Amino acid sequence: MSDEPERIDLQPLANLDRVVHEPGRLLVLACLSVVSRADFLYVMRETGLTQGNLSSHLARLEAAGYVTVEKTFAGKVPRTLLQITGSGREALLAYRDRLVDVLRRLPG
Amino acid sequence: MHTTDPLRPLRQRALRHALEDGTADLVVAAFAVIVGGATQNRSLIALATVYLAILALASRFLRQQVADRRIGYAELPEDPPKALLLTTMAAGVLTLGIVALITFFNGPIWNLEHWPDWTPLVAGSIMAAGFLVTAYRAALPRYYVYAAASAGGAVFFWLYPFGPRINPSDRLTLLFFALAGLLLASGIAVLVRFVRTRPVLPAEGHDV
Repeated sequence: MSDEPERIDLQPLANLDRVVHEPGRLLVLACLSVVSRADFLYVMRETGLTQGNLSSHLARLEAAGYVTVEKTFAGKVPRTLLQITGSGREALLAYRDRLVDVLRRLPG
Repeated sequence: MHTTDPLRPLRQRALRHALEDGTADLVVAAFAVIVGGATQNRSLIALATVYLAILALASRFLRQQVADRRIGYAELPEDPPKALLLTTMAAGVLTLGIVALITFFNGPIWNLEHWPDWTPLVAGSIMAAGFLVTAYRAALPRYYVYAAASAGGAVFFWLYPFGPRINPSDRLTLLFFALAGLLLASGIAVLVRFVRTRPVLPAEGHDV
């Protein structure tokens, strides 16, 4: 009889999408996933991120193809409209499923 | 493992964001007056459909002027102010449809002798259901108050002995007018508080 503890396969943790895994970007994606689209101010307010932080996270998410950034005007006022893409939504769901799956295997 | 939607709080916040400034209350108040008036003059119900579209656009315009530069702009898959306008329309149209059916089978249509006293109960229940769903989904306490007022008003305007000068058709109209008054007073209070506590933020100048 072996006393060796049961081995838990945590390998999927290593395969988590690093773009989504960062808490700030995860917040942005989650926030955008419940609206059709939103402007910069709304996302900043909802996530609590600073303007600089949000800008850099958005640049990374846009580069990954997870959000689209559209610069428009509301009257004469500039407005940056943000929208989660199909692949962004899929990445968010896949991340959530993988994380839930790994956490479910943890003992205790 | 619980199966609740982890994004529900975010959805709730997004809905609350859409109703936070009180302009939706004002637009629904205006429409309740129109629908209430249409219960007196049935030909106006067709015009109410036009007003529905106009007020939905007015709601968007008011939000743009009041809320977007204070708390940001978000477009939701469903539009809560529009849903409330449709609920108000349904309360008027369905109630009048029931009255039309009842009076049609008992003589001349819209005959006040056969107009039931309980019509406010139908309209009030539909309004209460609409407000209740909004209150639950957005977690906004004032919509619970509107739901309670709709239900209470429905019973009041059904049972209160007004005397001969107020006919059954007037009872329905008075319910809509009373609800409009409540929505207007509350909407103005919410709007004033919103404008005073949320300053206009500087234009973003394209951040990304």
